[in-house]
Amino acid sequence: MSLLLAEIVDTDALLEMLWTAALAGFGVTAAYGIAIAGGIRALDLGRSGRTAEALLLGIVGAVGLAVVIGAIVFGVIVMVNK
Amino acid sequence: MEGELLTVIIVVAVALAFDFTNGFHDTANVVATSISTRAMAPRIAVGYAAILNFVGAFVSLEVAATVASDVVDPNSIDLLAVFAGLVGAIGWNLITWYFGLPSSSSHALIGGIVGAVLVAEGPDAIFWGTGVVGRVLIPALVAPTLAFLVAGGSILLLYRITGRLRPRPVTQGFKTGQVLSGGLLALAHGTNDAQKTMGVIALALVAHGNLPASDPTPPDWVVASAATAIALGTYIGGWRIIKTMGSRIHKMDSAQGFAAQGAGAAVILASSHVGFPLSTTHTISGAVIGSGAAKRLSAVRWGVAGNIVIAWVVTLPAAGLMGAVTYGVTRIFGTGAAGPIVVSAAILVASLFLFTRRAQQGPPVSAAEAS
Repeated sequence: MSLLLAEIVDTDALLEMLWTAALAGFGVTAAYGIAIAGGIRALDLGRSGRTAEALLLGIVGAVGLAVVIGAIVFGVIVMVNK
Repeated sequence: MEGELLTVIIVVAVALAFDFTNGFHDTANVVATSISTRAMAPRIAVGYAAILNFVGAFVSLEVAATVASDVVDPNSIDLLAVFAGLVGAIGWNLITWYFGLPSSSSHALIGGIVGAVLVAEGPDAIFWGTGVVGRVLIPALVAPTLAFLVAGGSILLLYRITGRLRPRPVTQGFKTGQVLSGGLLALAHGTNDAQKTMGVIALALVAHGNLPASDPTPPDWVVASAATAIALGTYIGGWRIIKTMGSRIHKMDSAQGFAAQGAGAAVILASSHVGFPLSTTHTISGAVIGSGAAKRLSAVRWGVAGNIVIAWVVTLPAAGLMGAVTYGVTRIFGTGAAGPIVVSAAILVASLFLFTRRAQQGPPVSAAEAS
């Protein structure tokens, strides 16, 4: 049965779909969550005068946002160029 | 030859009509999450989705290649079989719409084509194993499950990252994120669904001798017209949704909306990239259910999930039967353009009749649940 399935299913394509969807789904949502958390914490710390920590968390938030935008642009370029 | 050209024109017109109805029907799936969490105003969400559906149709041609060459043998396809497959799919969509039954336009299209080709050319003209099972049925089962798991995992991850922060800015942050994730979902929808129509038109062009069976890549005019049809359908379908939106959609927070849209878009785009023509409706539903189930199992309307499973099982064979019957009816009028003209007129009259009756009677009870 499994041998028959292996013959008719394009295993490479199926595995590619599985790992790219999981990586993009989890990766982009986590990176965006980090962007939000970093941004909010940076604002809160900035208001309470803790500038250095605010700057650090602001950078973390910005990196999270950059990962989200970079991942989307990369994904679209890969699809267009296939 | 003139009669055959007329048949090609009818097939292209019917395929674009199918594409239009696909966009019209699926607007709800694409924009509902953004509207229900108030991330976007309905008018803006619908216009935005229409534009990105249009753009999405140009991103890839892998799904079109699968539909045109991997499901049925393009060397032995004839124009009437393509026509009958399309009409079978439209007929099944009309019936399920009228009775408020859940369905998938994508499965109906594949089922209709397979049924018509089975009757027209016999079982050898269909790639049952590598095509129907390997590239349609297995991905159709895997994609909604994957979307469910990715959306569920993502929302748990997001609650973990942002759970201890002040709720108001977090909500605002995810509403902003939904502009991005909703756009990606619309792009993904255009990428997968518009390509199925391109693949069917490419099959018709192969049957007419305009494209080689060895490389049935759709020409630019096919890509542009399919993109336009699905975008117009999305835009016009949206006005109906703006009117009926509200209590029909269950409550979800903006983080759940972001996770569901992100997971749905990721799965559909990954599937389009490898050429799997899956049901975008089922995949988006899987993601929405996953984001709800991860928070609280009782928040999910499991009846809707059950309906999706039933639709998954029933749509392919039912649309196949419709395609087969349509082929038989079309052939009564010979192999020229007479059959497609009569059948197109009949399906148009039937559509108008069902739309009028439904408008008089109001929506069926189960339609609200299925949405």
